[in-house]
Amino acid sequence: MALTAEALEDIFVSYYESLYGYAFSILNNELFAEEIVSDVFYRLWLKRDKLKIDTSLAGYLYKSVYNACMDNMRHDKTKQVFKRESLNQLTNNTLNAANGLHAKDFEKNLRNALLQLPEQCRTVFQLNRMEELTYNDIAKRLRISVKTVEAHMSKALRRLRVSMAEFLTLLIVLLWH
Amino acid sequence: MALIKKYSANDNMHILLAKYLSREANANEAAIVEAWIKEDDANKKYAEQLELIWNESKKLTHNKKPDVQRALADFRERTKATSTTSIYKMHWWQIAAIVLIIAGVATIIKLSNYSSIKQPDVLTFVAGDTAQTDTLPDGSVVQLQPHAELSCPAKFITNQRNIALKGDAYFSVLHDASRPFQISVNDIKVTVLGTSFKISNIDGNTEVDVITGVVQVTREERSMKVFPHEKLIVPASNDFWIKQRDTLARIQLQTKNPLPQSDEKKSLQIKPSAQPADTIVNDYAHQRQVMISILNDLVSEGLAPDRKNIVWAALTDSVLILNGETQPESVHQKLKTKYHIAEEGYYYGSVQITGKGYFFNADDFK
Repeated sequence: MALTAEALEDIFVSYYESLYGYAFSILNNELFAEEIVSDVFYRLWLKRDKLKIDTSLAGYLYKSVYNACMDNMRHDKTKQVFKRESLNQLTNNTLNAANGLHAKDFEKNLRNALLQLPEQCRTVFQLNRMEELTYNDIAKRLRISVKTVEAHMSKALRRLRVSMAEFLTLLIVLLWH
Repeated sequence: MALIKKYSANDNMHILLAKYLSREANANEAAIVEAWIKEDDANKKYAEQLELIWNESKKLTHNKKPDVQRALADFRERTKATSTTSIYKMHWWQIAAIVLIIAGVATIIKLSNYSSIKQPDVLTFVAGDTAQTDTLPDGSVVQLQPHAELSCPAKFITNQRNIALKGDAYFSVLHDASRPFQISVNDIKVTVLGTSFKISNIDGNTEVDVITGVVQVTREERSMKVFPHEKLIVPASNDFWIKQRDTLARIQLQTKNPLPQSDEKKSLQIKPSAQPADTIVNDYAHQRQVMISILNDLVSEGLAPDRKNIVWAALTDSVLILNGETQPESVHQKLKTKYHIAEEGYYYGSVQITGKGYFFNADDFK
């Protein structure tokens, strides 16, 4: 599959926002998200003549953005800050419990929990939750079956529930009393 | 937890729950889920937890839409520079650019022939009383402002394009990802990722104005990216880096109404974007005062026992962070309103933070 410059610009316009949202949900940083998506397109452009994509182009793009984000987190200095934040998580949650929990804490926990999901599972979940695509649309976009989408959605939900278990118990206790 | 064990075995129930929450379940499936929830309290609690995750995960989206057109323009810029398309498909200005580059290369060959038979190792360009445009060995174009001096290898052999600059200059750098373009100016390194921009020296402060593309500015451990329409001022003596936006608009404004300059030496130089040094100093004193006031407020709000406990803090349009923890929204809003925080935030501490605004560290308050 070879891509013309015009085709690539069309793809850029159709997917930029979605991919940017994806990168942002992982990195929580506008500049990094922007840069990563732009890099993914640039690399696609460089090898536009000898491109081999087995699945769908969308799937390929989400995967590239996901991998680039993971790389960024691994190599970047922000990682240290991020790590320290996650380490402080539990103690702070306990502290906050006395004063009532903050929505931001929940968000941080959820962000961390999402990081534990495998790539395609996360992509499916992202498209459904953050872009509100139907199972059918997700299946079409990623060229996978609706059954696979179902399986990924249930897996994502179950895994997030397990990752968040401690936090949820605390939260539910507070809500109940 | 028994709860999890009991239901994680039940894959089908999770598929149904996910479908139910995303409104994908048909009437039959919905009835099964609803019956299951009513079955006992544990199920109900479990479903509520899933629903909470469900609703909260929606909120992780970025609420600010990205500027796709700007991103596309940047992308075009980037691809254009490394374009390998045939000459027939090129626009007139692309051809013009190539002609310019060829002319530049010819100039350099001529230059090196003049100086000696053996090629000089280092090329030096010195501007006289007027600005002068030169082409570098890689085809990048530089416009040296009066009395500026630039030196670089006659041939960039390594995978680096290293340039040393004294004075002010405009650059239009040829994109080449494999050979970063790096300018040493004062004690700062400016790394270019294919772009056009301007570097100025004003009383020891280094200013980087970006017109297109992205530029990275580094001094020792500290590093910051500068984007189009942004200007970064790096003072010689401290780590108070100032980032300003919409430089181009300001340049135009200032050229229309040139500020009176008392210093004779300064008035000889043509620096359309130059901000008088005393303004920087005044700005600095003011922003520093604001930063101190913010830090004091963090203490009086009870978020930190005293100033010494504040390792790093950031007050921006979207968040208030203290020592790595996001602070309550109510306090954030209060301080944001008090200090009129919009695009430019206030950052304190030696932690590497990315953002736009005013950066301080402990040395600023000695």
